[in-house]
Amino acid sequence: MLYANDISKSFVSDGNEVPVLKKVSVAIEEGEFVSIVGRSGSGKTTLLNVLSTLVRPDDGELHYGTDDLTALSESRLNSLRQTDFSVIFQFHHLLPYLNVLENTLLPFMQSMRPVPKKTAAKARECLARVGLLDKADRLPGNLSGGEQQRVAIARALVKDSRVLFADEPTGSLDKATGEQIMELLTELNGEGLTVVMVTHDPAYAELAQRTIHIEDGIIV
Amino acid sequence: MNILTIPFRNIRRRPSKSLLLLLVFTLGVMSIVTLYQVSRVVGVSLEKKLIAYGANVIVSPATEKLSVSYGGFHMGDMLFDIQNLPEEETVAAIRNIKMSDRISVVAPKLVTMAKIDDVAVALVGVQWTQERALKSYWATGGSFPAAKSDSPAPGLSNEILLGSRVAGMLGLAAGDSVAILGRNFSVSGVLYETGTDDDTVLFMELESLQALLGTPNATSFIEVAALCSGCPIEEIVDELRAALPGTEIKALQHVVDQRMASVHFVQNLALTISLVILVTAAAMVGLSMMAAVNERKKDIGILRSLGYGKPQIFTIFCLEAGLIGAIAGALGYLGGFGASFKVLQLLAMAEGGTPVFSAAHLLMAIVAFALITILAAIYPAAKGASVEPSTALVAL
Repeated sequence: MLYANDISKSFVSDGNEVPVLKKVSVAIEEGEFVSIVGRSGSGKTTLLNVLSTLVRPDDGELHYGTDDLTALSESRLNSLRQTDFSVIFQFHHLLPYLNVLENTLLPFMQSMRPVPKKTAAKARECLARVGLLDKADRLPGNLSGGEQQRVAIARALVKDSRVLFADEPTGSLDKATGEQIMELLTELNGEGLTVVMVTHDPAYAELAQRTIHIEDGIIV
Repeated sequence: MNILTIPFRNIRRRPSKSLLLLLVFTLGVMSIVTLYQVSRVVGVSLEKKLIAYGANVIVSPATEKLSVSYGGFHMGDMLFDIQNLPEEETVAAIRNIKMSDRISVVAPKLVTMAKIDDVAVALVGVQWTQERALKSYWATGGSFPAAKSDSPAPGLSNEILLGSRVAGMLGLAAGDSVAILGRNFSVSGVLYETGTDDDTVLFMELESLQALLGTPNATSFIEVAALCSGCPIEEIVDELRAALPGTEIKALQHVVDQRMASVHFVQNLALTISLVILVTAAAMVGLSMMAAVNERKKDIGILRSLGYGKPQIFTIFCLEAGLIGAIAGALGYLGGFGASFKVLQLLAMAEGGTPVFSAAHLLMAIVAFALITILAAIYPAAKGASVEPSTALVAL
């Protein structure tokens, strides 16, 4: 489903080019739950960002189905992120000035055309699924970290995303809340959603069907 | 819910910051609208005051002129077939043109020559009310003859006003009597020297002169004072020509130009100050949007991760600025309209005009200021749109 072949990526820091990914190859199959683990600075978040098309690789191939993602135009990549891919981050995954329902519908608010009623109804269903329907009118500032993370997951559900990329989704949560989030991700994966998760917690990594270890930009 | 929800909610999220920006821009718009209204009213008022320094259009009968010379001796120009204009009809026609609101003073005159004590004197019949509206610079030793409408005595007026040089030639002063064309008149006053043709003529009520000459309703020419701030003098002249075929209509362009220069000075001054205010307010909006782009890199990262492209990010920032501009345009127009009354009252310069509320102008202000703020936000918005997801993600 998603194939990365010999991906390289460097960043410039203080005028020096720092290689972060060195010819990394990864294959993610449809319906898989893959965790990416590694020490801080090993390149796991960069790999996730490359796979989710948020960062373009310097070199290598990246295929999603039959599409060569490295050759796709900016607008095609945007459209892919709008439909097939969803990303949840450790922090700051919601716009603080939009309420829970609006944040859930954010992918559908890209034009002057109002969000269809059907989509709004689906968003409410998804919020109910993650247990937040009663908080649909609240601003993110009035939610706990776990609840905010669940709103981001509900957003992915409304989009009917095929792949959910999660960057340390439990990193800022307490143990109990983290476990709830992991339960939700496992449940969604059981329903067919492909999950690619970066984590530094070996216990959560074990919940995935497969774990990719990365060290100094190389898969080990 | 649509893309407008994002800037709208963001404005609402930071009420103090948004209100401050809105206040600054509203004050800017208000100042511009106040200046516009005040300059417009002052322009009209100024023009009306300047009318007191003479006419700018002359309506006279069409005459044919013949240049006569014989044996190398030039005998000057000869006018023949001289006709008078019918006073009532001509005045009515002038007062009833489409742009009649631009006509301020209509002063008919009948001119003739007569001998008084063997001195040839030009007699000019005038309507006192109109003449004095046209020549408020007149001052007299004695008093001005009473206007016909103000005169307590029935019948024709027997009061005359003398130009300073004529009074000297005839040896007459205020209170003296004099016989003109077989009828006795009393000198109500003598004009102080004006340096114009008025010094060399004798003025009397138009109707009295018409009666003396046996030409009721006749007038030699008519001086018109037109207000030119709302339209060019040529348009007024064209309308007069259409209304009065067979007459000669002449615009005194230099008089018009002099007056309009004063009016335009006031309006240009207001325009210059308005531009300075506008640029300053727009710069503030631009700076504020620039700061907003830097503050909201996280938001940009989230939006890019959800598939928002550069055009959408650009639109969000522009809409945010445009919303502030539109609200400021509406509030500023209403505030400026209200403030213009107070300013005119303080300046005591509202004679002859009041600020005019226009729904079309309100709409124009909303649209124009929304566009100006969008223009001011173009660079910051483009900067925000150019932030790559990878850069924005660093903020996350």
